[in-house]
Amino acid sequence: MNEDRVKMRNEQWREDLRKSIPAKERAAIERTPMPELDPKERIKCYDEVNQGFSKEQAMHEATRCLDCPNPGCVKGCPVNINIPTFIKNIERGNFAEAVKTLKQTSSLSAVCGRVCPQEVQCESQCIHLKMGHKAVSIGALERFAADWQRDHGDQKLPEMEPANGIKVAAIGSGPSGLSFAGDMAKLGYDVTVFESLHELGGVMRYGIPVFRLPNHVIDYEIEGLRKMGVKFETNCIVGKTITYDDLHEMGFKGIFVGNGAGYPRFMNIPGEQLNGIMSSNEYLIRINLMGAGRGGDTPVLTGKTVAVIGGGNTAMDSTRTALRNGAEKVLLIYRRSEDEMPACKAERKEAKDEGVEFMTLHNPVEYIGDENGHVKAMRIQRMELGEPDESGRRSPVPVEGAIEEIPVDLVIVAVGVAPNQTVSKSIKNLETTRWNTIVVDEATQQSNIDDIYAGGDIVRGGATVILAMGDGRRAARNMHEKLCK
Amino acid sequence: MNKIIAKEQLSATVVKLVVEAPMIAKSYQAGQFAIVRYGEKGERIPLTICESDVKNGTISLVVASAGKTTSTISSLNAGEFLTDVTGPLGQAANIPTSGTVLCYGSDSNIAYIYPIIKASKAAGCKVIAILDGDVILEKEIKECCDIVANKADLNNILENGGIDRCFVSASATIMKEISECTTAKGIPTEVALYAIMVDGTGMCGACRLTIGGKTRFVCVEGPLFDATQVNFDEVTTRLKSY
Repeated sequence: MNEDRVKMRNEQWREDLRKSIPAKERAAIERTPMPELDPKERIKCYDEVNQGFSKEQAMHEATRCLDCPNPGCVKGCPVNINIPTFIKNIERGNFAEAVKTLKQTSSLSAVCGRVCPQEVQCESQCIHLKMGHKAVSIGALERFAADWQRDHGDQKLPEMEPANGIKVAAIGSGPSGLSFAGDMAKLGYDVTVFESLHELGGVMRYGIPVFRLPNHVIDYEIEGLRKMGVKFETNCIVGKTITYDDLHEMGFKGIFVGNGAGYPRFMNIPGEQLNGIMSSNEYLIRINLMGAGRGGDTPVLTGKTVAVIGGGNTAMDSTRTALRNGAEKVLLIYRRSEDEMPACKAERKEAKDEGVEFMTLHNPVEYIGDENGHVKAMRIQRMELGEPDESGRRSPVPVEGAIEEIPVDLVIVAVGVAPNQTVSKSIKNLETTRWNTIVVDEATQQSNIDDIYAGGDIVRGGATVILAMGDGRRAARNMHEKLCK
Repeated sequence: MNKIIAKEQLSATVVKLVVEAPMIAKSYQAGQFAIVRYGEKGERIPLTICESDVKNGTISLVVASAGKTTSTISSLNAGEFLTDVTGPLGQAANIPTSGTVLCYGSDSNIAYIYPIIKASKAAGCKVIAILDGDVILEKEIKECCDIVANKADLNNILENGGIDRCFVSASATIMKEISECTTAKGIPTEVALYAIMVDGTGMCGACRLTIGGKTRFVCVEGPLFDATQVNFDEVTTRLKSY
């Protein structure tokens, strides 16, 4: 992989391109801001907030990349995308070649370009940062290339191996399952993806709001897989509708489990069962998947004052969705300080721009209901930061006596999710951890059962689209090796 | 898409739809339910599965008209299609293999108790059914039950003793009333809880209830729970959420 990258970097066009503008000049160019909808307008609709680069903006931003001989960005990417090669292709205007480079490693570039936390991955290693400049906008460029391909001509089939007639299954149609399916289809396998919901895409569909990841982006990826011959079975829950044994009977020789971490956690504090308090999963499923408040028959509660509990991206997504769903005041309540928040910086900024009020160092301790059993207020405990805990972050400690009551009429609990055990519990002897994640060999994604591989959140507990995608691809590679022996 | 093969009006507001769903028919066990959706904008709603026919690959869904979605689905006829049917969901009833089982059902909830009656009888139990309210499926239940009684007989049945297990499916108020009588006699009693659900697979938590002091999800851990652990007022209140 490394050798390939060096070879590509040494190609004549690339050397010429590097020499065409001195590094100093490249470094002096300001980072191109992502064009976005006006915060006041965008909270009235579900249109995509980030509009993406124009061709000119993309080529201009690509010029900033110094095409380092030893690129940190590649190391910062969890799946080591050949970033300089795709960026330099954008700079010279060869977008098709940029897409080809991305596709060698990533099967979901249009998604990752939108939802990856680049600031802590590729962009965090950019040489510009060491010189006191802003990093190259790698995510926006990745998105540009993927969107360009979608908007230009037919979806081309990748080179496919001849069909080998071997049946393999993916359980779950989220990022890991789709990536696995794509790679196995390319290798000639007869792939079926089983999905429990009525729509495909997993967390990309039900979790991430359409104003961050529009449905048509996911649809395009799934359409591409269908063209490659991948079959999809919706409304099919492995462990309920069919069993692991059924899959064998149906002739599947390898199974990839990527059913995610979809089980919402609650805090188990008094009053949490009141009406008007729900998990972020419920809130986002109603609005994203079912179209509540957007023309669907499914209802969703609205509130004037909405409190969202948590500090991750799902919490941010919930606050921003609440604004679009008619809330007048949205509070984000998080028990640590903003520095410890797991949500990515870009989304924190977007939430603040839209008017979300951050109440950090606060933690709910009790909810109070009205005479109809609907939440009307919450008691929140002020916190301060103590010693670092096992996650390395300073742990929040209650400030004695500092409890206040604030009125709320809707509460969204976004304090994390746990693995859904429906699949794993239905497979006898499958090894799981005490957190109910599936145990796999990190190098191969293989579980303790020979024909079962797993990846994504069901293994990691809660991670990112790109890591899930990497798992799916690694599982495909290793399952293929085993099956063709 | 699942084709409706047959439709039967069980009462003025309750219909039975026999629907093509071969995989669900094969996996279904008494006590489980399905999530159904009709129309591209339709909501997902839980419906009782009251029969499954493995040979013909069908399940029977029971729909009681209460709101927009249930009314729309009730109005569908044989030959039409449901957009999505997912299942079987929830835990199967723990059917005893001997002794006497008392099954109490009222109104449309009788549809949930019917397969439990049938399975208990088939497993070798003596089964007493008490049917209450706007009774449905009476003929079918009489065919697979030792005694069919009504609510007025409850005290006598309990006084006579000999009941080993009890299943109740009714409104929360009635389940509370009945299970208080049966548990007072020391009869292990399970009640079929119902709750608002969206996905029905443990993802949303809309159906959560406090059971024995702990938060439990009706969709994956229920619908049957030990009556002594249930807060019936909470069941009623949470249903008013929407």
